[in-house]
Amino acid sequence: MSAVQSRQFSQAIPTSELTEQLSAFLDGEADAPEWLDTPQAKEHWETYHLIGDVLRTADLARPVSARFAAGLEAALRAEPTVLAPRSRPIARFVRRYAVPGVSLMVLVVAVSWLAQPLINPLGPSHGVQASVPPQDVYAANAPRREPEFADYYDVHRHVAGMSGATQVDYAPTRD
Amino acid sequence: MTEREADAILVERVQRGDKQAFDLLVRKYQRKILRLLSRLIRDPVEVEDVAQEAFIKAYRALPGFRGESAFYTWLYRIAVNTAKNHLAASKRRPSGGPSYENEDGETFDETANLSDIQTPEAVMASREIATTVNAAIEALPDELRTAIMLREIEGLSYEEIAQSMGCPIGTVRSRIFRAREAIAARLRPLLDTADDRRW
Repeated sequence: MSAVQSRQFSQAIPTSELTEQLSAFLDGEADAPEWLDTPQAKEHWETYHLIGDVLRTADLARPVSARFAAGLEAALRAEPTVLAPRSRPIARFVRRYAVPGVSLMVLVVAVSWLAQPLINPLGPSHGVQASVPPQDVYAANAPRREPEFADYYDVHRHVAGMSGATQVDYAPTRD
Repeated sequence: MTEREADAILVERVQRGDKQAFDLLVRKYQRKILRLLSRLIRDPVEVEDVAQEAFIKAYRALPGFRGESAFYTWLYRIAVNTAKNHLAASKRRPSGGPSYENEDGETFDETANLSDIQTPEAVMASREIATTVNAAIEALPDELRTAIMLREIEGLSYEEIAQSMGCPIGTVRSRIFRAREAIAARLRPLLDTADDRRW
């Protein structure tokens, strides 16, 4: 850096308080200073990082060539400004946790409902029947034949045959 | 706030359209990326070209970066993939060592010596920078040297340094800043810090 450039930099240098905030921001110990986008801040930023890199490993004590800096600068200037869609914390939470959670719950309920006949093919009351004395099973499973539906049952059994009738009324009757 | 969180702040600024914030990320990581690529590609000019391409790719892809990994780890992968594509296009094998496939940029071998593919001028400049930084560190008062070493070498937080040195956090912050400024004052004459060097 030439002497003129050094003098220009010194004159433009911000107060030490602001520079100290930049130093702390670099360490993740302070908020970003207002002047972060200025050339002075960037010079401090780069120099501070170079110091840290060199202290950790001499391998990183490499200067960045003017060719690389100028080429990257020109290339980035030519790039359109990128913009990411705004992502609010609530929307992010909903997208990340709520939607998959609800989907999983719906899936579990659906699978449980569909698998119900396979798990308990005799119906929900079958387990209860197992504890009932055998002599009472028929009584428990006996169809509640309301008198007004008797004709309907008979016609249905006649039309569907025994297998169809069994599906409707699987428990043997005593009559 | 961790370093990753500090990077996340800059990433968010870029995602909101602040191109200048990407410049800060470039300035922070350019040396690491150049060193990484110099282990995969022999020609220093090609190393710079691929590094530039990698940064541009990262800039274009940044709207889709959700922060699942650290920014540098993400950038590291982009750089390695860009180098692979470059080598495949020129039908050459990478000159990298066993850490070539290492996806975790943080565990990259930090102790290796300078690559021999640097130009003699670059090697000289690197040595001069390293010598200057070391001399500046040696010249620091003990409390400043201890503070910056605990921060940069040991990676301690300001609170941990304050406990270690038995002083307030504000003092730690001031000591680290003063140490950096003292070293930077010796370093600046070696660096090209013209204000118009960047966009």
